[in-house]
This record gives sequence, C-alpha cells and structure tokens, in this order.
Amino acid sequence: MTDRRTGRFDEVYRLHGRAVLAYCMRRTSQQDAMDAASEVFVIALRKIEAVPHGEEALPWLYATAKNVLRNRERARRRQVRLKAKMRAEPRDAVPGPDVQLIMGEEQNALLAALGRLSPKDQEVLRLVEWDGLSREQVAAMHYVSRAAIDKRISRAYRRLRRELGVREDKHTAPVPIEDGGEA
Amino acid sequence: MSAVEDMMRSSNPVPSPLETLTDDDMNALLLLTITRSNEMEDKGTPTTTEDRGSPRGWGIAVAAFAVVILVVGAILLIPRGDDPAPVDEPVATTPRTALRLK
Repeated sequence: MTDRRTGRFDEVYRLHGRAVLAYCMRRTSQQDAMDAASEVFVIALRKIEAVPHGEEALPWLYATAKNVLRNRERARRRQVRLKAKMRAEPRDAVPGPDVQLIMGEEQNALLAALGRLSPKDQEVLRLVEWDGLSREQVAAMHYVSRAAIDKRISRAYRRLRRELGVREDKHTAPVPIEDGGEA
Repeated sequence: MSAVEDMMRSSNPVPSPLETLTDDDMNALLLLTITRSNEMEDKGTPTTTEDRGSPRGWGIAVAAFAVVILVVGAILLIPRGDDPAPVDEPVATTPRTALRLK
C-alpha cells in the first residue's frame, strides 16, 4: 500500500474512528461493535479512494457501517434459525446495546418504543439525535432531499410518541394518554 | 424543543464518544482492522460481509441471468418447423405448343 493511501486512511481513522465505533455501539453489543467497526475500516482501507473528503466522509462511513451491521444481523438470524432448527429451541432475544442495562426506566421505555418503529424510522432518529449528523448529511446519505428527511423525522417522532403513549405539547413534559391526553 | 426529543437525546447509549472511548479502545480497533486487512491480503479471500456480496459478483449473476432469459426467449419465439409448409397449387398454364398452334 502506498504511503499516500496509508496517510489518507490514518487521517480518516483519526478523525472518525471514535464516531464509527460509537455508531456501532449504539446499535449492537460492545463486542460486536468492535468487530463491526473493524470491518467498516477494513472496507475503508481497501476502498480509500472512494471515501469522500471532508465532512462527507462520516456519512459514507455510517452508510458502510449500516450495511455491515445489517449483513451481520442477517448472518446472526440465519445462525439462530439453524440452531433453533437443530436443537428445537426458541429463538434468542435480539441483544440490545450493553449500555442499555444501566439506563433509567424512562430511557428504557424510550428505547423499547424506538425498537418498535420501522428500521427506517429508527435509523433516521438515531442519525440525527445520537450520531450527530446534520439533516443535510442524513439527506445526502439517503439520496433524498432535505425536505423529505424533515418529513421522515417528523413522522418518526409522531410514531414514537404514539408508541410511548404520550400526548406531545411543545415545551412541556409528555402526558400519558390515559390521563386525558389525545392520541 | 419537545419533551420526546429531549428524551431521545438523553437516551443516547454513547452520548460522548470522546469521553466514553479511550485511546486503548481505539488502538485495539486499529490493530484488529490492520490484522484483518493483512489476513485478507495474505489469503486473497474476502473477510468482510460487504466483500462477500460485492456489486461485481451481483453484476455477473445478473448478466448471466439476462443471457439465459434472452436465449430462452429467442428459442420460444422462433417459429417451429412442425407444421408442414403450405403447398401452392400449381398454376394452370397453357403449353407453348398450344399457343403456336393458335
């Protein structure tokens, strides 16, 4: 590998390594996250010419990480199905992030509600609220307009509120529907 | 900012990667990446899930499928030779000798 390519990879890793590992940790267990993140950077190393420069690099890495995690999840499901078939055992529960265990009740309720949304809704909320991407970057990552992303986020929040069973008033705490709130 | 948005933000499992992830974590990740990359180069085999499902492989599969469809389609569309060709009725002609006699 040439020095120029190595130098470019070092730069990408130095700037975005933590963000990519954190992205994976937010979506899977810590051990799996480390493995998945390394897979992302192996791909980045092999395709370093394709990695965009500047701020566009992070959405590219996130998109790669998303594909890597999806492929790993498919492989895991296949393995679980195979094991279940062989041992006639029920399927394992999908493991959440390790850190979920130490969170409070409110956060756990939110994570559970988030988990009931469609993968697209979950992803767009996580990208904006957890992974620190701007709405423009999320739009570029999904090859859609900024307006489409705004709409998707708004819709995802509406569904999240519904899942949480709260009426949402701006600048106020969530009110449970049972206490007179509207659905 | 709405309360659910606040809840969403506060539920971030890794709110601050700079604080959560140490230099040791990052060095371990880099070592793992380099090891896997070297293994891949040594074996000449893909070790990432993305490589296994590379677009090139898909392209070849799609092209092969298209060729099969074209060949099958061409075979089906070619007129079959089972039906006998229509036999033309012989045209009634006047023998030249008869014309001369006239």
